[in-house]
Amino acid sequence: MKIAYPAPSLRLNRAFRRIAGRLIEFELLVTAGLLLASIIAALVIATGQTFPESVVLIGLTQAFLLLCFSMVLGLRDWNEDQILLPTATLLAGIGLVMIWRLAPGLRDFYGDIAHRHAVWTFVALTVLALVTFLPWRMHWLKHYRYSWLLLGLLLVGATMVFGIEQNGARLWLNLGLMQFQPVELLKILLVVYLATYLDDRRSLINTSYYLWGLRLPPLPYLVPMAIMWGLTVGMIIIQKDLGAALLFFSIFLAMLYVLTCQAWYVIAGLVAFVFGAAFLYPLFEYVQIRVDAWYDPWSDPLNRGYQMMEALYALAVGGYVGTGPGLGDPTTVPSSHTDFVFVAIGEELGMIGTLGVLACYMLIAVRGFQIALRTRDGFQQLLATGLTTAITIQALIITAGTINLIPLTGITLPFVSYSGSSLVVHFVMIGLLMRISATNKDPRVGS
Amino acid sequence: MSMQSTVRLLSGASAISLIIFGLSQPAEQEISWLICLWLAAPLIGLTAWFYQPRMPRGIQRSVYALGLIIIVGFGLLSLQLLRQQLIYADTIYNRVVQDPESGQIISNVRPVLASQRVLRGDILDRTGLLLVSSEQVADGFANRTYPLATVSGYDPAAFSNIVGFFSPRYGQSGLEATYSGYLSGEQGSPSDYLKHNLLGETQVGNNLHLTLHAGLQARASALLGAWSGSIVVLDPRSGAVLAMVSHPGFDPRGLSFNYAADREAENTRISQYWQSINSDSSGQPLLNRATQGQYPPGSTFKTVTAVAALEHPDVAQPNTIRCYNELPVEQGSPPVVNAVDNLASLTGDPSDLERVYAYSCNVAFAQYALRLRGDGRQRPDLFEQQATLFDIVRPQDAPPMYDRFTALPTLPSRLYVQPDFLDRLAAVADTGYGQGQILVTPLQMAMVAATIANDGVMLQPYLVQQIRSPDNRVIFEERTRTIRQVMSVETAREMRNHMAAVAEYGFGSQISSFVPGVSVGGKSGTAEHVPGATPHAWFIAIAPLDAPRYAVAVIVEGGGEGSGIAAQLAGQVLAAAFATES
Repeated sequence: MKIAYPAPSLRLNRAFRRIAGRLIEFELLVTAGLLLASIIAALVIATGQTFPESVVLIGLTQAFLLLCFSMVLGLRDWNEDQILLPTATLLAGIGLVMIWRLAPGLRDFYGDIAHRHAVWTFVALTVLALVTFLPWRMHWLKHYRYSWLLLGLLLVGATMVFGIEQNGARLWLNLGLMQFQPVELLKILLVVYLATYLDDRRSLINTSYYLWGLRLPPLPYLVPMAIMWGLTVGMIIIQKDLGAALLFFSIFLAMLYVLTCQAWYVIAGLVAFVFGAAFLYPLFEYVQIRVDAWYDPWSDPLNRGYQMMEALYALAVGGYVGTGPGLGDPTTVPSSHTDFVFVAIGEELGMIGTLGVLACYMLIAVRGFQIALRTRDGFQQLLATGLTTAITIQALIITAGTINLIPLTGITLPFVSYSGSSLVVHFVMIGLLMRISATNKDPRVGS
Repeated sequence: MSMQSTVRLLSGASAISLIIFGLSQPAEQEISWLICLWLAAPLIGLTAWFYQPRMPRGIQRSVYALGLIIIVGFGLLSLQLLRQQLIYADTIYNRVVQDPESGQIISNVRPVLASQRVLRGDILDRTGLLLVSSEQVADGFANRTYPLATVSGYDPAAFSNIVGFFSPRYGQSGLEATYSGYLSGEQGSPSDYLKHNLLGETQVGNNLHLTLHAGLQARASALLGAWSGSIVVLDPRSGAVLAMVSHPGFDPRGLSFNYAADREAENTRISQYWQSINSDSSGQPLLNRATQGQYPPGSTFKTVTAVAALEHPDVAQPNTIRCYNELPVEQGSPPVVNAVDNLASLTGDPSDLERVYAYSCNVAFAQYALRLRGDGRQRPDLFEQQATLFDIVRPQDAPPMYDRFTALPTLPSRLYVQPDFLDRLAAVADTGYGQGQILVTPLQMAMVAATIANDGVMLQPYLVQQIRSPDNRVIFEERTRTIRQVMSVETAREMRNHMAAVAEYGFGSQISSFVPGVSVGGKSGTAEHVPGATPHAWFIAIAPLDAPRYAVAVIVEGGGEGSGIAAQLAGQVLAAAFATES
């Protein structure tokens, strides 16, 4: 059969039409870029801090490549979601600028974090491009689920054995050139595995039974629920990672709830978590430290409450519009570039900055759940729900911890914190969400 | 349907009222706010849930619910930010807590850091000599420097009570504290301050031009030597403070941070110095004795009693007086005695005000005070009234701080301590010659001398003549301010003659030998403070008598007879003051 190729002028015309169809993303990216440029300009004027040429080069290259990326997406015309990428880019950009700004004050302790973070952003965007353009099939995720599970368990095991301890928690693998936080990768693997597991057992939803007048979930739900609970408590005990435990458990409950529509499972799960934590509280000093520092940071100002107290001072300095980039003292709060980067934003960009960042996460939540609702495929629906929950719940847990709404648990602020593995993994999640959202996929890789 | 709208109305209203109630809790009550917020959270969720269209049980509904929970979570974060960043931001910013274990006080480090980045203004003496300055060093931090020691070679401890210290850890004292707003630039030129702030430029402070004469201050301090005590020199014509020494002093360099040096070593050095000047054996160098020292004035106070007697001659009959050896006043109290036995051989018998003043006859001044008191029906009596005119006030009228001298923390001088003290006759008699419960500051006694020198008009003492902006614009200029006419011109003239008699032939004639060719007036004092201890030595002096340019008060703690060391110091300080004129 002879294929009739359109005339060149028509092809060009179609290309323009396609790019024009993706104009929202392009415009939003430019807007985010302008916003970041104005923050950088204010920073340069305020502090006279000049960026190393290589950092500027990496930043500009990234901006250019992102615009190209958006245009290529338009040309491919899969019709992916246009909001997620600019939102994540804005968050990552704010993170990058904040880490540039914090780097001079932290050089003595952490080395040249500005450079490293710039390179990591580059890596993250490259991985995003790979996820987007490599011809892989969505159902591979489902097909090789036991491989993913095995990989996840191997990572956890490797971290327990070979991991290096920082701040009392053994969470990092040293890969020579860089340190890697396997728990971040584990997050995606967990979401993928849960989505496949729950999707396989969709038919069992209505097979619940009653025990002592309570409607219990069918065993295939109850068993993993118990395993998850055991796993999270185990993580708290062995890896001392309260934040990741809470996050994983929340992701599991959220996905279980979406599938079963049983709010009472979630409540039971949360109660079990609280009881587990309450049981562990007297046994583990690091849990006590966190809870005490949350309950009344001012009562132990030199020790347990120190970090939180400095964070509260920093937020109070911020006020409406903040001190202005470069004009505050965010490095007085320990871990200002990782866990407490939100507080650093609060000090220098004020409430406008913090609410803006929160709005970005809310936007990701809204778009992510909309994608989940629009998807026909049951597995992808659960996957989208899980990924969206993972990103937003993580943001919720860490920001609530740093502004003393709940006890602090050390996890990264997605896209913003200084952590290469977190950055890469979250951009992969955005990539997956965008792929799920595509309504005009090439049928050869679509399913 | 109506059921549903009632529920959502109720839950919405209770969520809002819970949040408002939580926000109205004081900033320290964080936990009650958090409880309110957490209780409100499910109510907000419930309200929002009831506003959505009904959906059948299914994935769509549960995803919606999940999204709602997450959005409510971010809503809680926003409310917490609202409280922390806006509503209670000021309270939290200024919150100070004490560590329960070490007792250390912890406050927000940011105002301190900000203050250390300011190029603080200079402090200069009346001749334009640079006393204290600033220099910018690493990371935008500025060091406080002391050219008075490094350039002029003066003992920095001689100036410590005036300039004070400036420390990131221990705060400020002296002029650094009182004029902190001007020195940091926050006060004075608001447009410059705003400009520096907006552009992130280094803040430059305003300069203080003092009335102090650095040479005289250093000389007076050197004369006082190892003695504890104070010397105050005023210009009686204007009220300007020319010298104000307080011993012992401290080295302000010991508390100022050097940002060019190793941080850790600097912290150790400063905290060690702070401990050493706060130790029991250090003699309280942080106390500015000139304005905060509370001493019984001893016989120098007879000046005030004498003024009262001259102002009310019909009651007090100043020149109808006898200097008995002892004066029994009241049953059960020891009689008033003189410091020297048989003083009448010097004063003559009967005597007059000039001679009982010159020879410091306690018995005579006890009688004046008793005469002025009258039958005790009129309170405050004439004696109390005269003291009050000199701002030596009754305890019930004493303000917490003396507000006529505001450059440095200054305590009021009190005629007595217990409000009913002067109800007893013996107490009146004792107060009449400067004992009893009377407590004065050296500055107050210098003001007494200056008032007599200035024809009875008491002037407000001041230390800061001008405040100038970094570009040398005058922002503030002090002028002479009258407190009040304390006595008539005639009384003042007569008192100057009596003070001259002290210096000519009375208990203070030593002073004249230090200022040959100049007519001086003075009054010595020997103040009993603790029974059995060596008394404090006082001397107040004015010179030259025909048109006084200097009024001096000297106190030497444990110095013994006022006519000894104190008179000598007053003479030497006056000589030094005259030497500054040439």
